[in-house]
Amino acid sequence: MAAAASEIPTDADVAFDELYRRDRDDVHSYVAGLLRDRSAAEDVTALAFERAYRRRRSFNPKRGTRRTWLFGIARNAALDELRRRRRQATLVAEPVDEAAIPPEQGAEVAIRRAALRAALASLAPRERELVALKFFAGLTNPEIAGVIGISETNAGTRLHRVIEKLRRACDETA
Amino acid sequence: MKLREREMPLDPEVERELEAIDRGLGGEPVDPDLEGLAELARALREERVGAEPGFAARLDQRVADGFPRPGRLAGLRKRLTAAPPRRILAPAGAAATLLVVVGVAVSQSGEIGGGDDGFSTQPVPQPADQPTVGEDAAGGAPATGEATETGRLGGQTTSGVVQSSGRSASEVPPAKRKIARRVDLALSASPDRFRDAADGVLDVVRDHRGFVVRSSVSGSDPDVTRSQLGHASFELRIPAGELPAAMGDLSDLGHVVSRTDGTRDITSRFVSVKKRIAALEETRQNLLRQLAEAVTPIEQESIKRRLAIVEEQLSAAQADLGAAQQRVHLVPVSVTIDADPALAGDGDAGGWSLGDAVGDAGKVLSVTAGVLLVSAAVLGPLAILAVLIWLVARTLARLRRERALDQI
Repeated sequence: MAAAASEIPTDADVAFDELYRRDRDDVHSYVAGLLRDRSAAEDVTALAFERAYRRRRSFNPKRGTRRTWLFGIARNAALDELRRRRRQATLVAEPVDEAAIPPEQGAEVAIRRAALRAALASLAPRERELVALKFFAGLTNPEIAGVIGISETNAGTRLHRVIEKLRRACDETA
Repeated sequence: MKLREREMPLDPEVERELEAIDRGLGGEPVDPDLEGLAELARALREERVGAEPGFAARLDQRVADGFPRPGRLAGLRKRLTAAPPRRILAPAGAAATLLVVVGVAVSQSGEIGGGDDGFSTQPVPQPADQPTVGEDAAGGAPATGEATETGRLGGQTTSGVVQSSGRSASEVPPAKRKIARRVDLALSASPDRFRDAADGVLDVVRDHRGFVVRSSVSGSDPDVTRSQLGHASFELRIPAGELPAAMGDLSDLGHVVSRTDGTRDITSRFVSVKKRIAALEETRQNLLRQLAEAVTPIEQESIKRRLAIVEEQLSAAQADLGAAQQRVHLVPVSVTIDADPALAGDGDAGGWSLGDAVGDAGKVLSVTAGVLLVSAAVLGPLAILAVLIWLVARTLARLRRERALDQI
């Protein structure tokens, strides 16, 4: 798919196509969760895949899986975007859209979701990143450790702390 | 703290809860006490923001097109960036090494010479104002105080001797300057060819309209012992116009051991002598006029005596001028020939032999090794510096990115 029509796709091209098909939505969800800006998330996701495409032949399996490698690229692109925003002092965070909760859901569900969103909004960026990697992108704990560059134990511990924090925040709100 | 977290295993309860989260996300049953945690995990999963269909379609198209770059240089850039950095690094490093090697080799190329035929005379710079050094009027060998430049060339020695006589007549154009030259040539020949070489000197002198001032030949018998090997010396005069051709012919007579070329700017000497002659001529004319006007015999006698002195000085000055002119037009050439048994069997003493080839090959190898060593000395520190800079830049970039998560 990524190789031009006149070229014979290489192993790297095939692997990239598989990676793209499987992880496009996960990458977007992770970036959107980290940036909390749908428009910026689309730009960063596209940039991440473009970088991954241009570097597809330099992937080294000894340093991790393709998925970890891709999310590392996406993370760098997202952090660059955060830095750029900081320089421009135009931090844009999408407000929680209360109306987005489907009206057919019960009031209790709506309240729980609102509480969860409020709790998510209160998280620090590093904590929000863990949530995005685990629950939005669906990465395993070893994959999260590989993307962030920490040990698997450390990743599990940090993730547990964030969950605890969210649980407490939701309970307090409820 | 981070270190402790890394080293310590996960708390069993934490591990159990993390497993419950994973099972909850996977839709698998969990322990009743952890059902709330699994539900939270599923709720978080539902907060995931999906890609807009329009965005997904646009990105699919860009991927299908291979992320085309806008602009005219897109093709070139694509080709350059298509190759991974590691593949570019090797050719780039090789090119840089080659560049350094060529640079060093060029600077070292003077060390490599050809065979005996490669003998060439170094250009001798024109002298500037320098004090007079001794020289006999007949054009003999220069006295002490010569500045000699000696260089190695094909296993032989060649020298250029630069001298200046008296103050420089700076007003004389370079083309009209009077340059006195001198050449000393040392040859060796195999004992069986020694006599031919010595005879050849006389033939060369005759062919080039020169003459022999002095010659000496001894021990030419091939059967004599080593201590009685042949030796010949010649003191020649060769017309300046014939000198290059004559030296070429003389060099062909045997193996050139050394050649020394000396030049001396004697323009100031010419100018000085001519001025002296002009002044003496004027004085002589004045004295002749005075003599014609003299009345008394005593006065006439006095003028005649002075006239004789002036004419004597004039003759000496003219002789001096003639000697200087001869010194310019006839170049003193000293040739020595020694019989050398080591050259026996060398059919072509002046050619490029197998021995010369082996010698040159050795020089090429030694120069190549030196060039590689110098290149390594230059590129090694540069490579280390580049790696350090790259590591520092990479670390700084990573720290800056991580800081972005702290400063929101």
